[in-house]
Amino acid sequence: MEIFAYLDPGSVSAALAAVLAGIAGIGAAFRTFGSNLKNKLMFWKKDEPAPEAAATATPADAPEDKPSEQ
Amino acid sequence: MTAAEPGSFRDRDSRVVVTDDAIYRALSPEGTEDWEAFSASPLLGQLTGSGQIIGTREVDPSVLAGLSDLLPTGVEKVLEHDRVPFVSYPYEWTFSMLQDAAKLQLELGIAAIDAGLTLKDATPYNVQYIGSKPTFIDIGSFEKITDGEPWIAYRQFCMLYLYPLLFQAHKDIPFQPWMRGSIDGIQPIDAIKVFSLRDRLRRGVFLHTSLHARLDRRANKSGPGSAEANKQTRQVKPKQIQAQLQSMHRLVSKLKWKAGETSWSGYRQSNTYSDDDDRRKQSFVAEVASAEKPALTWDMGCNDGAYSRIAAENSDRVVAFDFDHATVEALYRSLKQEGNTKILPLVSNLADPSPALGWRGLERKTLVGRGAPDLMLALALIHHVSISANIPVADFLQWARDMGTTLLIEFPKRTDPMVRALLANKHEGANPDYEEGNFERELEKRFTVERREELPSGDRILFLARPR
Repeated sequence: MEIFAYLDPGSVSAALAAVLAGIAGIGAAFRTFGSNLKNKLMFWKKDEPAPEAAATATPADAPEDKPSEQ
Repeated sequence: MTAAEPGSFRDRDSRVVVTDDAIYRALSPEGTEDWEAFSASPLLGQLTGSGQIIGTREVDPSVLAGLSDLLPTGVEKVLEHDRVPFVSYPYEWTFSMLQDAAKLQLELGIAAIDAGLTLKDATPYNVQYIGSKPTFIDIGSFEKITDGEPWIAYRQFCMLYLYPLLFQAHKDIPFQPWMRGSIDGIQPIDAIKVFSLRDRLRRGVFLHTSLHARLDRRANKSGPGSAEANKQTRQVKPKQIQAQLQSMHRLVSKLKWKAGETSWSGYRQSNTYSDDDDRRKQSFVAEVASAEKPALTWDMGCNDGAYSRIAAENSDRVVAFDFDHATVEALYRSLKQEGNTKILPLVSNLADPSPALGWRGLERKTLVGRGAPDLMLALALIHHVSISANIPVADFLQWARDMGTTLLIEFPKRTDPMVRALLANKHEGANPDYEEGNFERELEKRFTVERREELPSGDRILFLARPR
């Protein structure tokens, strides 16, 4: 995979970014899973929009996660 | 006069050109592909509508016919952008301004992913403030996502957005001098030196600073030859990048600068003004602004922005400067709450205003170079400039004269309590040029004094002066 950019990502930083993206992806999946589960169980509550939804909305403040989020 | 913007040269697909009437952006064939992907999505309309990105439209490439060699692969399309009323830089912003710019940067990155796009860089120099509202100006930064690619701009985001914010939030280190002194921001290996072992538990420190720095150091030891090996980065899905940006957004949003949260230091209570003086001053400023109707007013030493607000009623734009970071921060928060897009608050030391920086000294402009004011308010200022900063009265007046600005200046006499307090720390007979008669003489040499009014207390005089 070639990286075409005028900006040098810094190979070290790109590697770290890739790893963090993976972790963040898992975190997001858990959040979606948790929120879907909550919706299924608490069927009397209105559905909340998924965190990734609105284009211009500020991402909803999720409950504080694992230490790696710091 | 048409000239390629000297600060816009790094991106080979996009180049900014400034004319007397407009701001254009030339796009290469590849840049055009990215632009078309962007303009085809609903994103462009949404973001320009909300003011999150600067107003942009396509124009006929012939507007740049006179210029050659703008881009290595040629110019295929040309865009026109709305002008930003007054350009400012992150080393003039307050903590919250940098924080809000960072949030905007991330929000755009998140929204872009949904449209199959990404932002190729992450620098606060791509954000401009219109009054108290941040706006993203680098349309050329939007490009089509390349599948598998990680967040390329992560390092730049850390160096120019995150570390300055962490310094201020966690250690109360002013980030502005650092940003002004280092055009690319703060490196991970330098950022980590500021944090102690205990700080590792603080937001943003362990992963983005400490770990980042450690990997950097290891890479530096192995040398540039290892770059090829490092190119084998794991494939990243766009949704993962989006999650990463959201995570960073949460982190940035939670940072707080405690010292900046205390509101007014009690200036209005502890200052030495009489109420009559205050009222008379307010009327004077209001009368002048209403008669002048300036396009641009500078309020130097704005403090809580009271006079900026009065001037703003009759000015197109106001830039409010003060030396004290916490003061400007409080002003920004207040303006932001009102959604004020007229008054731009900036941190600036009058005795050391922003210089020209960057490649050939052309990438960042001097303060005055960005727009000399039509009207300048210098209220409760000259005694600080002259007695504390030791700048000769004549020099200050010459500076104002050279800008060609109409000057509304307040001269506190030596009998004024504040002036006496400042002089008390100095030897007998200090600052002899700071004296009523001398001030008026120096003023008359450079300006025509149109109005002169002594305030009720008898200790201060207001002048309205026009440059000769």
